[in-house]
Amino acid sequence: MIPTFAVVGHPNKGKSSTVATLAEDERIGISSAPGTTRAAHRYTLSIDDQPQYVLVDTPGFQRARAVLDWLQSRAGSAQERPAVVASFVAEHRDDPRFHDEVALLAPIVEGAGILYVVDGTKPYGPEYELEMQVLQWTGRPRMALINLIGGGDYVEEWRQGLGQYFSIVRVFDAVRADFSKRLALLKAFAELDEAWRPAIDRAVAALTAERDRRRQRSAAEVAELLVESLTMVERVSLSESDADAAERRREHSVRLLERLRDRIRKRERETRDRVQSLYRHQRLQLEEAATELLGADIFTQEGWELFGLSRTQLLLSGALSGAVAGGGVDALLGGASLFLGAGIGALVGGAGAWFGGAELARVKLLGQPLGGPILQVGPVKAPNFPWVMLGRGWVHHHLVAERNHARREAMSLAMSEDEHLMDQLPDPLRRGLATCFKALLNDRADADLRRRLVAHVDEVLALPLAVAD
Amino acid sequence: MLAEAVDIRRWLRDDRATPYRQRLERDRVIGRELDAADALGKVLGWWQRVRNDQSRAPTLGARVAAARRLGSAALAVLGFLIGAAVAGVAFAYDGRSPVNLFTLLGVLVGLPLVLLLFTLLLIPGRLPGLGALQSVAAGMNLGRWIGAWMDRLLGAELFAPQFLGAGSGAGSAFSRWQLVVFSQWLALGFFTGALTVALLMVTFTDLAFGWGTTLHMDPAVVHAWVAALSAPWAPWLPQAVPDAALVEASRIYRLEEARMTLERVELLGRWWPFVLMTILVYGALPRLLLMMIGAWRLRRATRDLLLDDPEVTALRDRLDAPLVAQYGNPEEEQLEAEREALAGPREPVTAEGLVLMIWNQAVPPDRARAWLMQAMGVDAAVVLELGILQGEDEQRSLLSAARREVKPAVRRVIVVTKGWEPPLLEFMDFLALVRETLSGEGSITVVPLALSGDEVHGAERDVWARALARLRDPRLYVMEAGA
Repeated sequence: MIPTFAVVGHPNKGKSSTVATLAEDERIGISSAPGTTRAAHRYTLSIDDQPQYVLVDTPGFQRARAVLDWLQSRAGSAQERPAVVASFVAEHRDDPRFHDEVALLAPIVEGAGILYVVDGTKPYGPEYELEMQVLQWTGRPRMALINLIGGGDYVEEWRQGLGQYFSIVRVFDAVRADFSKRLALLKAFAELDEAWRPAIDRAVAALTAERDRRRQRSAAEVAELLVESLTMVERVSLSESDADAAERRREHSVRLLERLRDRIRKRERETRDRVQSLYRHQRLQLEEAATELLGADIFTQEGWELFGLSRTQLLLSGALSGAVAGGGVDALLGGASLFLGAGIGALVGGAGAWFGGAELARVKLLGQPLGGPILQVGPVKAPNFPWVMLGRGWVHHHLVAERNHARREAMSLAMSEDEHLMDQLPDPLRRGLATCFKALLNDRADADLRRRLVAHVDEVLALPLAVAD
Repeated sequence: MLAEAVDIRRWLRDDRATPYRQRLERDRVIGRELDAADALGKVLGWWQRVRNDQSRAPTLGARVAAARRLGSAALAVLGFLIGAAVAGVAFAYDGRSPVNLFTLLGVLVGLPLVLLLFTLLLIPGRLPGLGALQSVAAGMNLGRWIGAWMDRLLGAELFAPQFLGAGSGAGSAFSRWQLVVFSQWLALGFFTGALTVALLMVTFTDLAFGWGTTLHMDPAVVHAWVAALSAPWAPWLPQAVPDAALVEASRIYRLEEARMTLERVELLGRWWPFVLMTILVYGALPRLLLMMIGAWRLRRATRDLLLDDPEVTALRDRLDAPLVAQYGNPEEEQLEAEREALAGPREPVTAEGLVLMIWNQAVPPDRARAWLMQAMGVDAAVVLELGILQGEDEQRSLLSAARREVKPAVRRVIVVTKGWEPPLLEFMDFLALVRETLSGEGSITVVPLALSGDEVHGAERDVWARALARLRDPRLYVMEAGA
């Protein structure tokens, strides 16, 4: 049988938060209103369609006293108790009075282990003992989780109370538990029943590998953002009148700079969305103060081009082509022309390219001019720019990777300008990144450089970071 | 593979709009069914599966591949025409002065070798200090113009930004090798045209070759050069290796036309196998070799263009990595919003007929009394401690006893409960029991207390108000802080 764990307890003690955290499912309804969960919901972890374990989110106990009274009125010996619980479920399946109790006991009767969730920030109460007694009657392996919802501290009180009914008692902050704590809890599930250990071990290994893959994919996304941001340009073809008017050129360049900024911001947002998707945080809202990503150090240039060739390159190409053609004529004349052909060819070719190029540039094909004067803004040449982008990607990834799926408030990305994140990098890693950034700033992004950059960014993302959401 | 490279990259870019989870599941399902062991085979196999649903209209990739074939053919035809024209001029012999071998080979072998050097300059990518020269070499290359046209007309975004070595690595290598291959189509067309014309002229006209130069050049040196040039074919084609006598006899001076005897003309015609072999071996063969290398490297670069694409890398991850899925259906039916229970009654509170109940040991009785005194300025006639640990029968008997005790009748019940705990149905059952056995037409006010001992307020009070509203009891109230 697939290991199954029913998450049960009093209403509003964090059962759904615990399931949302372990199942990484931000869709699970979590509310301060009791009774948000009205039916049992099963969350299966599978590896390539092979189910490894099932978590069952259940409604809370509503009438524990009445259930216990019913059970006690029917059982004789201790060994009959599980069967009595099963008959309670069978008899009350359509009884609205015990809707919630049936929903929470049914998976246990079917063989699920029990995860009993309480809130360690609220005082222990004797009324909980009725629930614990009902669970004890099921005879199933069980573990108690002391969740921490509010600000109080009654953990020891709870430990003592729970210790009477549960062999394993753990503190688990369902909303703040990071990945390692989630994994530790999962490993503890295996302690409930030895038969469940292989499946749980497989799940732990798969989740760990998945975690590494998510980080590597995130690194590739952040690296791609860096490459694109550092090579991004905005350009516009100028009309002849624009090219002559300084004021118009200035307006164009302001507009292009704004477009470049927007594109970089948009690209960064896309990267963040992708990283959040990798970690299954599609609904996550970000809170971030507007920051100026680009300073004044943006490369702006005016020029002229035809098919991507500058005017000088076009002139040289024309001259050289003319020289080669003229050289052919010289050769045919056996050198008698004293390389006059090459010289004339170079002159004619160069002049032709210069003046003919200007004419050709005006020709429109499919409504687009083939070339002409252009204004270009970018790429960003500021040396600190890639470090800033990397720092932002690092912080965002850290917060997303450690963020719990039970948290529903917006994620704050407040970053102080005084935070010298890069000081936290080991020297060899910083040097490796600096080499990559230098090559990127010089527009030399070959495949090998990209691979190295992804590997370096992956190293960065794997480093611990002291930033809290 | 170019068509697939273009289409897959574009398809995956559009596919970013598909939810990540959906992509993971789709691709892993396909990945598990694929037999291919290598990365390219897997990606192409995946493409076969996903494109099954696509329309059969020509894709952008198919159009780019067709445009490339057309461009290559156009270059080859252009090269053929140029080669034929140049050879026609270079082999021109009107019977007066023999064709000068230096001129002929200079035009048909020397110049193309110079152009070959320009092409080779493009291969290593951007070289420090030679960037300008490389840009010019690329600018001169007709293949570059074809690539630019393909980008402009088809929107392929493959060539133009990368021809000069800029841009991403895989794309840059692809465009460089594509440029090399385009150049070789032109060059091979050129040599095919030149050799065709040369053969036709050798066959249908009488040609005579000689060598002449203003420079002082000893025939022995020329012979040594000729012998060195002929070395590749000398062992198996000796008739294409001019001997020293032929070299000596072939020296020409344009002023000595009178020396041209019939024997000498026949002798000078023997150069043609050497000429054709020189064009073939030093002109056409390097181009053919470069074409083969270029085609091989272009195929690899196209493969890298596909596999190094970040979206394709991510796809490969999705194909290979076990799918760790956690699925469930958390959609909940929403409870209807219900009216809130009212705040506490406003009529003057007196101790007469007032019963104070403490539910589930919310507070000790003396603290409950103190709270009542502080909040309402009265003391209760009766204080009851009730809770879930008692059964319903016991609760009922306690309530009945209280009813008998309070004279003349219970006018108001105040129930103090733990405000930090949620209102459970068993508490609702208890309130119904209170209404039934104790309070009659009197009011029942529930006072959820916080851990601090004050009444809860705000959202916590709302939780209680909404829960109690479900009892639809018009005289059931939830205490409002400060009421």
